[in-house]
Amino acid sequence: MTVILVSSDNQDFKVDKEVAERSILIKNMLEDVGESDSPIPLPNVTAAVLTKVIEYCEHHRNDPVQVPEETDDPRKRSNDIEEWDMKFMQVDHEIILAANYLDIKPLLDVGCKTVANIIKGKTPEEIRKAFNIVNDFTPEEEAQIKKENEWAEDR
Amino acid sequence: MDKTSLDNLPFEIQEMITMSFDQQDFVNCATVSQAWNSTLTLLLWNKVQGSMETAKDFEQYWDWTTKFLESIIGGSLINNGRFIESFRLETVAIFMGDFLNHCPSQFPRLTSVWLDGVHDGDEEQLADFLDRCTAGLKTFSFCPL
Repeated sequence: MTVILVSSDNQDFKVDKEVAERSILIKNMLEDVGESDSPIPLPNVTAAVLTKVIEYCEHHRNDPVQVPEETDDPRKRSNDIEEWDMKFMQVDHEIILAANYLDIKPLLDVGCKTVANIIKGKTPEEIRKAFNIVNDFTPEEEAQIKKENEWAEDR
Repeated sequence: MDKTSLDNLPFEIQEMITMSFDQQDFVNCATVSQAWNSTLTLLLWNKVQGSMETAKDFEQYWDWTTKFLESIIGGSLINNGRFIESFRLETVAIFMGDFLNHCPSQFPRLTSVWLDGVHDGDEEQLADFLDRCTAGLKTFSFCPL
C-alpha cells in the first residue's frame, strides 16, 4: 500500500505506507483519516528536504521502533552514529527541523548528535571555523563572559 | 554543514543537542558570538546545580561552590537569574543575607528550588528569596544546616 505526500512546493511523492509511517506525524494523520487515498500535505517541508527524509526512512524501514532511553544519564549517552547515517547527515539543518516537524525521533537524534559532535571538545575559535561564524565580541566582552561563567568550567 | 547553527534552531532542539555537553562545552559555545551567547547563556543558566551528589568528590564540589559564589558576587546571578528554572545550591559557604544582596529582584522562571545547609536565623531571608520566585514554585526543599 502506498501513500502520496505533498511537499510545500507542491511536488507529489509516492511512498510505501510502511516507510511513511516512520514519521509519527504521518502515522497519526493516516490513522485519523482511516482508509483513504487522499494525498497528505506537508506544508513545512520542501521537496528537496522531503527527498532526503524519505531516503532516510527507506534505509531504516525495517528498524525496530526505538525504545526511549530517557532514564539514562544524558552526559553518559553515547554520541555514536552509524556510518550510513553519518554520510547522510552531511546536509543543512533543515533536515533537523523536518525530522522535528514530522516526528521522526531517530532522525532527529542523529541530526542532534551530528551537531553535538561537531561542537564537543572544540575551542570557540574552532567552533567558529566549523560553522563559518565571525567573532563579533570585543575583547572586554569576551573577558566578561569568561568571568561570569567561570563556575561552569571543569565542573 | 553550511547552514547549520545552534542559534537558529528551536529551543527543544538546542536542548537535545547540548544534552551531552559538559560545562566546558557550554562556556566555549557561549564565547563563539553574540547570537550563540544568548542561546547558550539561556541553556547554561537554565539549570544551576551544584551539590555533593553531582560532584566527583568533595574537592571538585568545593571548587565549584567557591567559583560559583565568586561569580555571584561579580554580578552573574543578577545578570542571568532570569533564565534559571531549576536551582540547587548548598549554602553552607554563604550567608543568606549576602546571597540575597547578589540576587535579582525576581526569578521569573524559577519553579524548582533545593537549598541545603540553611543557617539558623536565616528564615526571614529565606522568605524574602521565596518572594522573588514570581513564577510560583512547583518543588521546594531545604535542609537546615
